Amino acid sequence: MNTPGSSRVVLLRAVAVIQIAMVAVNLSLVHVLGLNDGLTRWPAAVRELFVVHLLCISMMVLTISVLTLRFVREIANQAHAICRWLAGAAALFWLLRGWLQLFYSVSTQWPINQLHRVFMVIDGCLALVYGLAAWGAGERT
Amino acid sequence: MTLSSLLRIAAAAQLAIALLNLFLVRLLDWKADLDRLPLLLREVFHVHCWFISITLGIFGVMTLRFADAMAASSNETCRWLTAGIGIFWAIRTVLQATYYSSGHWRGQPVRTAMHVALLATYGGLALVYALSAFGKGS
Repeated sequence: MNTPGSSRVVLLRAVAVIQIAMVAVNLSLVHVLGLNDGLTRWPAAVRELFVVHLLCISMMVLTISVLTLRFVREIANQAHAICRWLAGAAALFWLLRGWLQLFYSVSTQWPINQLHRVFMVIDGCLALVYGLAAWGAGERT
Repeated sequence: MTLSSLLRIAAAAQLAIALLNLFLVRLLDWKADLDRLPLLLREVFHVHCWFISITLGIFGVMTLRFADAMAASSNETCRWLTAGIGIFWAIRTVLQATYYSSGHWRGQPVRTAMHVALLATYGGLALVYALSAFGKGS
């Protein structure tokens, strides 16, 4: 039978895969946005911190993805409080990311304007799926 | 000191780093340098800073909420989460030691002390979470 839990499993697996793809995009962000020249003109300390932050954010997203794939059923079924908190944290993370993408980054600045819209939609979808897993009616065990 | 207490201290440290990170540009006096950068790069830099703070805030709050369960390794999700946070800090420690140019602090006592303090803090965080993930539990 197709239960809310089982459809959530599929959605959560899909968002985990999307997040892994986003990590790959994030790691090549400077190249994708053609910012290499700008970056080389930065003071060394600022440039190094920028790279470290990029790596740390990628690690965080990868951690969420791996945990989602490993505990997909527990998260979908809200099996433990920590699963709900994990999904809630991921939802908050992506909600804030979408909000910043929408309101902070000036869209006209984006070399590829469509990429900006795609990121915004993906961020919203990720927040929605994790939000449902955290706060939607579940099948708690 | 119990592992649970160490995890609570680790959580407080992460929340403090998250807060400090929000004022990083002002603390390191980088505003003039950043103002000279193209707008898009400057925005990405600021967004990254905020997301590091959000990440550390999440780690801190989750650890405070589940410190006892993490210390006891009572549940598989807790073990994997602490392992994930531990790996995060282990990589951050390696980056702190190997990636940054030593020219930023060499010959400057205050900056050298800050570098060593950060290295010890990041290493300590990695150790506490590793103990929680891979130790026998309390």
